[in-house]
Amino acid sequence: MTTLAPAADALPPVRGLARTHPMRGAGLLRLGPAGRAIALVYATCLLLALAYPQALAAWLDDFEPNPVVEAAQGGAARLVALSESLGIARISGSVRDLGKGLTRKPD
Amino acid sequence: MLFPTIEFALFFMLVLPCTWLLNRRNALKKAMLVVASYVFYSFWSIPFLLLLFLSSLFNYAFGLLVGRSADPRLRKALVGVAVAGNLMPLCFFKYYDFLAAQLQALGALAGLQLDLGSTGVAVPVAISFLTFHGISYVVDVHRGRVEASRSLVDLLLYVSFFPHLVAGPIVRASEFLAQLARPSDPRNIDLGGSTLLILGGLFKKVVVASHLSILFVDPVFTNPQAYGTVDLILAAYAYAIVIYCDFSAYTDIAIGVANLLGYRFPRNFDQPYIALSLQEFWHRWHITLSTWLRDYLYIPLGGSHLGRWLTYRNLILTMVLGGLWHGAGLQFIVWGALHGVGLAAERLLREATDEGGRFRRFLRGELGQTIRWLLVFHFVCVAWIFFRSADAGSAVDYLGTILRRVGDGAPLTASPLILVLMMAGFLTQLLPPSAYEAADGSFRRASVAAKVALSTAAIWAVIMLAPSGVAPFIYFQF
Repeated sequence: MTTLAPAADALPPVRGLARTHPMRGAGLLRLGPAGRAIALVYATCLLLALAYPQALAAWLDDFEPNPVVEAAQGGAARLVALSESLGIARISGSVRDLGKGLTRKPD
Repeated sequence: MLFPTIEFALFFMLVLPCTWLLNRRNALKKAMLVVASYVFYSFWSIPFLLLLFLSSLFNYAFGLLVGRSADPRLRKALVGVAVAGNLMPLCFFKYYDFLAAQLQALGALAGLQLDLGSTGVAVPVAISFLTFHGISYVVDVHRGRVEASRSLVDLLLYVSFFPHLVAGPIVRASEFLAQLARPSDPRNIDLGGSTLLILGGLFKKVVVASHLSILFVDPVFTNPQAYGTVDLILAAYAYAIVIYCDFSAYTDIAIGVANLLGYRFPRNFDQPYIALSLQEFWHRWHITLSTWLRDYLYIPLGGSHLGRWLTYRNLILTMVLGGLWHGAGLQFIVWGALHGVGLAAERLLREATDEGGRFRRFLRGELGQTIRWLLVFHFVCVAWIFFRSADAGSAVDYLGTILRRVGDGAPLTASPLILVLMMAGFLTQLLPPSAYEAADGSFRRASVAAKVALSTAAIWAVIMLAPSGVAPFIYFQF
């Protein structure tokens, strides 16, 4: 069973994240309220990046090229590939096109 | 950096764990949050970071001076200097060009050619909210409601804390500084409530307010002559929904974000469009501004303690200054004056009628309440026309066009989508509190995995329906 408790002993500031209020019914992670908040934010952002990686790729394309941006673009490309292989990116792309069509400004 | 952007998501993903990892080292956590807040502000302007810092330093110094001074006259003088010092940058950046233009116009009428120049700089983002926080801090120290902060970092954080920095809610020093005294208790995180506030805010801003603005309100207000009466009236209603959805979205997200970081902000909106009187409207709309105006302007002017007519004067003056705070333009003064006169008229009516009389009994009945709601809502909508227009002349023109084009058979341009968005926006504030409580309860009981799934699905849906690029929040300009 994976738990944050041993890490909390090693790293005192983590104690507040892991110690109290175990996550109900999960059993996998024992997180405190702050840990749950962090887990919620991170998991949501990561799932969104996987669900619609085109937005992340387009956002990175707006930056001037430099090694950091290029590395991030490489990561985004892999994310797009993963999402496409799962069929999620295509669904998001189609729904986004539908959304744009629905809310298009009349000529 | 806007809330509904990838930049902010990345920024928050960094700040949130850092905040909780440093929670036990409170001084370090606060210093980190100050740095984060300055980084947040630097996305708008790096030069104005100096203004942010100097404003905090100025109020910190005057807070200490006021707090340590035993002589009441000296304290009063110090508070006067501090208030004037807070108002100076606001007057310079926000009102100098407006006043110079008015004086030049007056001079031209009198045959004088005045050249008062202009500042030549854009109004710094958040300057009004900066001023509000500064004034409330020194005045509250003077009134003994809060102790002068001995920690500069605390004051820097109070003024610059990124969730409220740009568009509120206006947080009182007495509410916030006490929360900085010790590490935050993670048990105070309301994960369900905060998440719902953030998700609701994203929906209101990105889906409702942005689309209604782009597709309908902006085109109609830019060229009202091209539209018929029905479109013009619908656009006025739509703007009432846009400004509510836009502004309440910002403060909802700010409250949710602050709570995830362990801090509590006051509520800023409470179903404003169900109000049955203007007084009630101002108890429900931008609550932190209306209470600020009450405590730092209306009451110092004498409030309701100087007799009937001076009370009316104080109401009107407070609302006119509140209007002027929103922007340097005659249209904002008229907007404030309309509300001020409306509030005074309501008070006059209350004082002139018998509490148990037939008229008041009628107003309390079902029909009376419906009439009151209709009157208040339409009064607020007419006032919003001034608030939204580029200038007072355009607002008068808009209202004139509504009357002129009655029955001219102009085709309706408001699409079914506009009507659906208006209904959705209206519903967000018409739903009874029990509906929110039920949603909050279900969300609260859900596991973290279910919360993640729901949050992802909700934000994904918002992204799918978003316009290309999100416009800044309306209140950023104030």
